[in-house]
Amino acid sequence: MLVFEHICHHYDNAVIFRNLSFAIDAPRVLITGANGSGKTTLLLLAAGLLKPLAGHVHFQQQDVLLPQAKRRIGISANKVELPVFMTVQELLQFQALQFAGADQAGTSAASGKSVTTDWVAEFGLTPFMRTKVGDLSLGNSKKLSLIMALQHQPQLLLLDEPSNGLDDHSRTVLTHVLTSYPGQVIVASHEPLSAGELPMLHLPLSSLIAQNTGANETA
Amino acid sequence: MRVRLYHEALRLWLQSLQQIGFGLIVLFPMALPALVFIPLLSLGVAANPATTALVYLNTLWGYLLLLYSWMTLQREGINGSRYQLYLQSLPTPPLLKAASDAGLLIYGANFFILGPLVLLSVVLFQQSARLSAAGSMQLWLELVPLAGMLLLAICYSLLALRRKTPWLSLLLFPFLAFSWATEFSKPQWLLLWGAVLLVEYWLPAFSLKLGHWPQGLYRLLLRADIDSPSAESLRLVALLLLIALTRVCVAAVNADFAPYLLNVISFLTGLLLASSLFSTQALRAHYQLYLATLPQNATKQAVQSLCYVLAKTSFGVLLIVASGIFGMTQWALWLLFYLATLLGIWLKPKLFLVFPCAVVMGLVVLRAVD
Repeated sequence: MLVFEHICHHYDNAVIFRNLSFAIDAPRVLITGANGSGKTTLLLLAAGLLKPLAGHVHFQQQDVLLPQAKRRIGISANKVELPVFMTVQELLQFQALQFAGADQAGTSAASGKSVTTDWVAEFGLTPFMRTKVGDLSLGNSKKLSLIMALQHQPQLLLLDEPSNGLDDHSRTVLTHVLTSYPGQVIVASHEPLSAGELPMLHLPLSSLIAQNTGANETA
Repeated sequence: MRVRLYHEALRLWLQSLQQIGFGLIVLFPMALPALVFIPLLSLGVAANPATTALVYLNTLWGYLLLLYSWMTLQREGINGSRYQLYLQSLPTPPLLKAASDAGLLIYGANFFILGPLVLLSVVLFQQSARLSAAGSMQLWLELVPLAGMLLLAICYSLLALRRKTPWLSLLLFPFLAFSWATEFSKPQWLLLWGAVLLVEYWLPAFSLKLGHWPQGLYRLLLRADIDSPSAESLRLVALLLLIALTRVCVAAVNADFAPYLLNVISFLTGLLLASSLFSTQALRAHYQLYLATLPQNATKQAVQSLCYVLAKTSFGVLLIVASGIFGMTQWALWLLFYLATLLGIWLKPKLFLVFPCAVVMGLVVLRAVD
């Protein structure tokens, strides 16, 4: 379960969240909202990449800011810029090495490699393994970002506009991920996305913020 | 159009240099005019027939290193790299394109090419009668060092606009040549320099291939440096320039004054080598969100990046050791200044200069108390 407790966050003079509290337990969640409403910031806070000015974010009762929590969380977002100077292969190897020794099932160094290979093949990124990340097209960059989020089989998958720039084949793979991924998946997107037979909880960010005047919400 | 694009790139570059420039003015107010006059003094040294091969070689090396750095900093603007696709789409005649390339090269290199060109032209014009007379071979030979400087300046201006670093002819060869400077005459050294340039031209391009080592964050940092080597190249060029200038100055100044000069050089080299931490910190700041996704705490990443900078510094230290410019006192001072600068960049990047300056003040006070 992902829990936001009394989160306050702002950029310069613009307040994004004020005392935002909620908990999400649903396996598939779609967060929608207008441009600049804070969808990406919400995901970055959930991934522990941004430290809120006040409050705490927990996943499975563990503070997401802790390094150990990163093993449970995977994020794909355009804001998370990947090292442009490395080749796709180098970056995936680097990532696998960083997550090696994870205590989750299927995330040992060896199995991590096979998991990577699978997703690379699934998304059709194999011909670009020797291409520098900075030279990838928009669609291929998005595929790499998704693969890197999936690579260590996290329990919580956070996807920001995951279908942006993807071709038809990759959209099918994304639908497959949303349908059959064993962990919790939270998506921020403008587009309606399908999770197959799994119910997708639709959570408009504006209503989430409006309902939050200090009282906790459980979705 | 190319000139306007160049001016735009220059304007952006100058804006980014303003902060560094301010720091330099505050720190070394007396050194700035000296820096401006280095090319001018170099011309005098090169044109003087009485200059020894040793002083000539070091002066020429310093001149070319300055020129190379100057042109490298302007490379994007002169080449119009950002607008290359648009420029390629224009129906510009090849002759006009070549003329604009040459014009911008001279405009960008400015004094570095025009200086020796004008001086050589004046000498040729004034001495035309003597030069055309019989038995003027000696006079012609005396013009070779200046003409060589001009030719090499044009060569390195062109090379600076390309991405291939002249590591052999501009970095390794002059560095090693210092040990045998008295073995050959100035024209012979120029011939040798030209030969090394040719060898370098024919040498196949190579790229550093990383095997399985290093791994982890070290690999990421090393890959970033290999992919964008300009910052480290400029740092290396600046270090070599300092070594070259030190050699010339130590040979020229009074022996009693030399240790003081070397102490200043130990301060500057300490600052220069420690400044590598800025690049590493900037890289970590740029990719902070990605690095935050990794299951490794920020302190461990920071310590690893510091270790990486220390490893990089060892190369610079080896160069200074090989040059033999420092004694034990200077090495002790260098270590103090280096560590103080690292600490400054680590703790207060915007006020990092306060740290090594505080060390200097402390040393001055200690000396006064003694």
